[in-house]
Amino acid sequence: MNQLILIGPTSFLTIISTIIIVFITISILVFIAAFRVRYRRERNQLKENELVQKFQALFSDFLFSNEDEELISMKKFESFTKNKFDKSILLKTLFKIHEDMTGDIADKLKMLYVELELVNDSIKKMKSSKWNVQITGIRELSDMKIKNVTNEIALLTLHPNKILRREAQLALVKIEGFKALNFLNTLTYHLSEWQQLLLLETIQHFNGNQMPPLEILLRSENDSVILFVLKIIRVFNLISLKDNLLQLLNHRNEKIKIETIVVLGDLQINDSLTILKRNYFKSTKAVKLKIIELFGKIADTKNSPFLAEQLKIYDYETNIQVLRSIKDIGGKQKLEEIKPNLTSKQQILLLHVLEESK
Amino acid sequence: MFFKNELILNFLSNGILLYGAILALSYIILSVISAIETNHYLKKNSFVNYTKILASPFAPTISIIAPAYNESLTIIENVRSLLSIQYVNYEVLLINDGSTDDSLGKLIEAYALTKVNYSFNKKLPTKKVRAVYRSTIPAFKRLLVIDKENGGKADALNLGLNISDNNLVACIDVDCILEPDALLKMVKPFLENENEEKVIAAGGVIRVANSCVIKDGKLVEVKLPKKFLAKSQVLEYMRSFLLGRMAWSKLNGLLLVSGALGLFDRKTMIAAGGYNKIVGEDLELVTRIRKYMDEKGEKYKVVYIPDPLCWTEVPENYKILGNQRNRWTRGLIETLIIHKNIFFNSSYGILGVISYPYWFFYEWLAPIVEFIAIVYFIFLIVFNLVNWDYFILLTTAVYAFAVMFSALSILSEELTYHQYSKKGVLFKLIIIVLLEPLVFHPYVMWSSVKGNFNFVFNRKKKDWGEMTRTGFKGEVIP
Repeated sequence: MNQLILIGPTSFLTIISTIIIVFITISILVFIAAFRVRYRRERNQLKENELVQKFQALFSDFLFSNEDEELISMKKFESFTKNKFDKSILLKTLFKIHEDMTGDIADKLKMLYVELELVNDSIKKMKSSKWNVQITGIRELSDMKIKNVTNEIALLTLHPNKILRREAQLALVKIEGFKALNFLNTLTYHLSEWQQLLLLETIQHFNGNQMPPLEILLRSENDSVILFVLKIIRVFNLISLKDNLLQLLNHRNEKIKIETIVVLGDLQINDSLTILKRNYFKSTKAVKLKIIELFGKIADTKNSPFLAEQLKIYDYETNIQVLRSIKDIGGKQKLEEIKPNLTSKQQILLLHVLEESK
Repeated sequence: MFFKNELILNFLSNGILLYGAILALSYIILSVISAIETNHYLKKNSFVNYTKILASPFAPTISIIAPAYNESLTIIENVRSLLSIQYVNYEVLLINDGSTDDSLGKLIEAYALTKVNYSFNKKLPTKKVRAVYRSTIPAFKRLLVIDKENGGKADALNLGLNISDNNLVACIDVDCILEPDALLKMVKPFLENENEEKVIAAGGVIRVANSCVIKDGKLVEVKLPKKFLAKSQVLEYMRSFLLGRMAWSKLNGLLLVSGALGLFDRKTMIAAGGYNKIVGEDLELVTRIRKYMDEKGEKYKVVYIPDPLCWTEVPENYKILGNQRNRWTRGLIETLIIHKNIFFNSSYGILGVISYPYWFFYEWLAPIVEFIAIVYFIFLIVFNLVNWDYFILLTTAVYAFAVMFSALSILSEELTYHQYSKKGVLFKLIIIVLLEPLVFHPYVMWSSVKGNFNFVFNRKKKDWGEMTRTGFKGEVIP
């Protein structure tokens, strides 16, 4: 039994030797690649820094030039549109400056973008077969508010690729304002919370008087659309939609019910109190908590007995919310009044609520 | 007799060889999936403007739960760092876990804290709360300090879960340096989910902070550590985070969200029973919340974010490193035992069929198999049974694979986040790549074997229960 370890044919030795050579070769190639990547990155960074400096000076000349000088400046820019790398840095710098500008200066930058035919590049990108390139194109076009591409962008708002779809939705809203929210009518995909926040952030800068009718959207089959519209109502205080909101209190989706109650509270809609009081006992705990919170927000003293009633059974979450609402309605004094009727556990909650208002 | 011995030895030789080959293959498969997924992530997130969320009042509120024990030296800076995170709606719940130093006194003084009446719903059992403090200075209104009796990190985290009112909680090590945009990046998967899968946890990349320049609780300059052990851990973390976790995230099989930083769905955590008071509470928690969701039949995801989000100091001497790895091994064994019914249980899906078996066969068993192989080799030398040609070739193959794999992690780092931008760093890393399999890895393997031994023969060893820090700040499982 001599030399037992890994007995095998000679070919096994050859296989292992080959594997070693492969591993070592790959390792060397990978190390070289790492150096190369680093070298190229550093070189490009240097080149980019130089170009950015150059462009900033050119932009400064361009933006503060008269009509004759403008042409000369444009010629200078034009010389950088031949090389791919130079052009990409030019675009980057242009968008960075444009981002912080409004009014005439922003218009002048847009004019440069069009005159240098950079807009055609963006359109080409939008039509690319790669989704990430498409997004770059869409973003460039929407940042510059290029209106004649909205039909193409609108088609992409229903694209199966969710990242592309989201970008197209945002772009459309950026270019067309509230009008673009039409895409919500036909949206079958879920509108993520993230996307809702981005859209809200974009539309909250628009003039609320131009808000399109939202009633139909509140009856959407797509629950995420309803949730988004509820946020819009909250941001723009759309009290005129009161009746539609009250209807939503019977919606099958609990999340929609909860958000509706929050909005009703924010808009101080008194009519909701009777309905909610009626619905209270058949509601889930999460909904009940929001109803109690709403009573505090609307602060009608008539509801104090109803709230006090809810303190008869000890439940941490319910009791603490009831005490908060009682405080919102009648102030600290009201809490002091009911204190003797509370159990020792509830008195601890009361101290907590009193502390919150300090 | 001779025949029998030969059979046993052949079985051992071929078994070890086969095990090693499958392990290497699994590493390659995982790293390929990781590379593809990271590339997709980078493409996808290159368009994201996080500042838009930063300004939104609709961004969900997050409770940061930071347990602290005897962190007096750095606690003021650590809290300052937490209070300067880029996020709109968040609170910091600092849990002082019965520190015996002057941590609490320093906090009271620095942040003008005053005792407040506070009640909370005790959903998870924890040690007693001594007092709750809030700052009298409006600028620190996000901060709530809870002083409790010592019960260990898991107990402190459970108290934070009880106190928080928010759906999302970030559980962190107080002495970790968070990237300012860490919460923004971590909250995104919870908000962008478009299908039925609920995101229950998100973890991020942990990086090595040794030798980095940190000012006012913020990382201002990334440097490669000076000491060999810390440098080896830089490489180890790169391999683990860049070439492993992303693949597990893609497969939805991620079992570990590092205790240094994780964002969780609080309701799910509480429903699953919160943190278990064992050594590896982070691994056990994720396993349990996944198991809970599987048992409920709800679709879920545990997400991993490849961006560097958190920096921590790692051990720089062998004793502390050994203790750390010993603890991790014991924590792993405990988790595997607690959840043994998952093993190859198809009703737990990926968790039962892939994740758990992988942790069993490769995270737990690998050091043991390696140790057995070394003992076996010594036996063969003693009995003059070694075929040296085979031995040299096989050892070289294993070494070459280790070098190749580390080289790939360096390339991946260069192609993605390139955190170490100083000149000459690549050369230093290559030296570590060549030395690490010979020095660092055997020691880590030996510490794991000792962890197994301690688990079996010294089960009372509980050096984490009191959250004792042993000279370096923070530790995390890569």
